[in-house]
Parts: sequence; structure tokens; C-alpha cells
Amino acid sequence: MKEQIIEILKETTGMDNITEDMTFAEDIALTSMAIMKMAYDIQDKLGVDELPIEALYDIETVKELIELVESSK
Amino acid sequence: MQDTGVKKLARLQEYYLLTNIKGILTLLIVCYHLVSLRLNSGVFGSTELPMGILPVTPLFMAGFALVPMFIMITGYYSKNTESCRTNAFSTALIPYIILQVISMVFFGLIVNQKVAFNLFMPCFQLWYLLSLYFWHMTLKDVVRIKGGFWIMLAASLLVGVTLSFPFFTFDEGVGVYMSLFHTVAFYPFLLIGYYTTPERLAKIKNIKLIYVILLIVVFVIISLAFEYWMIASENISGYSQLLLKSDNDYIQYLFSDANGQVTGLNSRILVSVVGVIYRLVNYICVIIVAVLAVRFIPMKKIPFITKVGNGSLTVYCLHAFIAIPLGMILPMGNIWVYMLLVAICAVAISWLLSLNAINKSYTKFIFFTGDKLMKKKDK
Repeated sequence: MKEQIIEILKETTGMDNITEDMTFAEDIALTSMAIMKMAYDIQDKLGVDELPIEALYDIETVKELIELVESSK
Repeated sequence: MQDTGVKKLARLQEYYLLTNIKGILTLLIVCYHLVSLRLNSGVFGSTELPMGILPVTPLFMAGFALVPMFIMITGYYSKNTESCRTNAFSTALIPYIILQVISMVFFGLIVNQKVAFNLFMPCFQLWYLLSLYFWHMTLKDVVRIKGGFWIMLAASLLVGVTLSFPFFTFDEGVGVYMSLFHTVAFYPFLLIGYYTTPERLAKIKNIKLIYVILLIVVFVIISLAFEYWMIASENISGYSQLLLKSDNDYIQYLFSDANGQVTGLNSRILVSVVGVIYRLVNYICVIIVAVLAVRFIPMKKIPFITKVGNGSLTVYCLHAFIAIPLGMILPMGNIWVYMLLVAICAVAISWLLSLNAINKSYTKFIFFTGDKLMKKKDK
């Protein structure tokens, strides 16, 4: 799960080194459309039924994203 | 007012604020495209726009702020300049080319509109995608230039004016072509968004009421002054011509040659100067409207507006296919009934295009097409 999420993040951002401690606000800083793409990819590729976009703005780090997706499954 | 005294907006607050602003801007842009083809057909009377009515002119000026505010939000979300550059081709240029080809066929052959069958002349709102490509490709370097903001501000004011020794002349090459005018003219707004931080948003959110009132007063004064400046003419060029035909000796002296004749070249200089002043006034108004929008728009979920804001790019890119043909058939008997119909249609179009299914399909289509065209990196 963790590896898959990091892979989706790498695809979305084009960045090679994504680590769990990176923050969305400063280290990754995705465009709003990229965040949406990431949400849809997580839903489709990881079988998460619904991942509200709002929830992705309510987390700070990649680690929190992984926890959020795990709790949504 | 939420969270008075906060030093920095939380990500979720920032998301709701900017998404709500995008939602409102998107609705208004759809409204604009519903009426845009009718602006020249006398729906607002002989002056095209209802100038001269006190509350209308500030609204008209606020209308100029729609697209620049959209671009400021684009800049705000473009802080990862490397990622923006990496994705610019697949998320901006490819969608532009696909939608431009579809638009040329749709509007040229089906809707029978005058459109250039030319990839370098963006149809309607598609200039934004082409400009977005240029912005994202250049932003990383522009922010590294010392005084980059001021250079781009100067460039945006002077766009359309070329230094041709010993005079300024109007450069007709900078216009719709490849969205060059929009790219340069709106660059400062992208940079304003880029340099805006959550801390600055929090400060704007907490501006004291007295300053808000002051800003509104300044805005109304500028708008009304602008009205008197523009009312005699339909456009900048026309206004310049009017000045040249006036009995104002100083104007005549400034723009006449040794024989007392106003030459074509001097006339074009005046058009350029008026254009620079016009853009400067416009920029001041945009900043005021943006500050007021941040100050007053709530940082919480607003059911319909937040949804439209979420799908704003999808709505923005696709709405013309519905809004332009629909706008052409709306009955224009009574102005108020017409405006009500425009508002209802704008809400309906925005609702339809921001549906999860459409938003998801468009987002995935864009990234899917880009992914298919790009070589995969070696892992």
C-alpha cells in the first residue's frame, strides 16, 4: 500500500524522491488538478471507494496520506 | 469571521477559501461567455454595455478581475516550479492542442462561428491553457531573476508597445497569436499568486473593517473615473481617436508633427500610451477586488460553489461548447428576463460540468493522454 501510494505520488509530481516525512504544503506543493488526479488514482488503483478531495487538504505529510488511505479501505 | 488572529491558514481553510473563490469566478466566466456573442448585437442598448448607471460601472470593473484572479490562484498552486515544468506539456499543451482542434471544428463548422483554423490562434477561453504552458515552463527561471516581478510588471504594462527608436510604436504582432498578449499581460498576477503565502492570506483575511471600507471607496472612485475616461468611446483606440479630434490644444501639440498634422505614427503612440494607463488602472482594481474576495469569501464548504470550484478547470475548459451555442439562442426580449436566463444557464452548465463523473473523466483523460505520449523514465 505504502509503496503504491508513493508510486502514484511520483507519477503525479514527476519527482523521483518522495519520502514519508515530506509535507504537501512545502515539499510537494501539488497543483489543485494534480491533487485531484492523485485522488482518482488512489481510488482506482487501490480500490478505495471514495476519497473526498477535502480530506487530502486536511493532511500535512505523505505519512498522513498513507494513514488516511489505509483507514478509508 | 473565522479564526481571528490566526498567523497562517490551515491547508483545509486555504483550500476552501481558494476553491470557493474559483467557484464564484467560474460561474461568472460562464455567465460572460453566455452573453459574450451578444455584446456586439445591441442587447445592452447602443452603448453595448450599460455604462452610466452608477452601480454598474464598479461591477463592470470587477468583471475585469475574474481572469486575473483565476491566474493568481494558479500562481498560488505553482510553488513547486520543477513539478509544474515537468507536467506543463501533458497538463497544459496537450489538452490545449486537443481542445483547440475540437473547438475549430465545433465552432467553425457546426456552430458556424468565425474562427481561425489555426493552432496558434486560441478559440475563446483556450488561450488560458496555452498561456499556462508558457507560464509553467518559464516560472522557475523568472522567479530566480533579481527583480523578476518588477520586470514582468513593466513588460505587462508595455506589452503591445515596442521600443522602436526614437518612438514607441504599437506592435501588432502581439495579440491573440499564441496567446502572447495574455501570457505577458497576466504574468504579474501569476507571480503575485506565487509569492502569496498562507501567512499573507491570513493577514488579508483579518484586515480591519475600516481598511475594507477605504478599499471599496477607492475602488468605486477609480471605477467611476474610469467610466468618464472611457464613456465617450467603445474602446481604447476609439478614445485615442476622439482625443486627437478634440479641440484640446495641448493634445494637438503633443501629437502633431512640425506641420501641425497628427500623423498616423503619433496616433498609434497615443493608442499605446492609453493602453498602458488602462492596464495600470485595471491592475489596481484587480488587486482591490482580490483582497476583498479573500476578506469576505468564507473558508468553509459552500455546497454548490465549492463543487464548482473543485471542477473549475473542467468547467472552464469545456463550458464554451455549451455556453456559446446556448447564448446565441437565448431570447433577448426583456433585459432582466435575459439576465435571469443567463444566470440559470450558468448555474446549470457549471453544475453539469462539475459533476464527479465529468470532472474525473476530464482529469484522467488529460493525464492519460500526456502519459501515453511521454516516454517512461528508467527506474
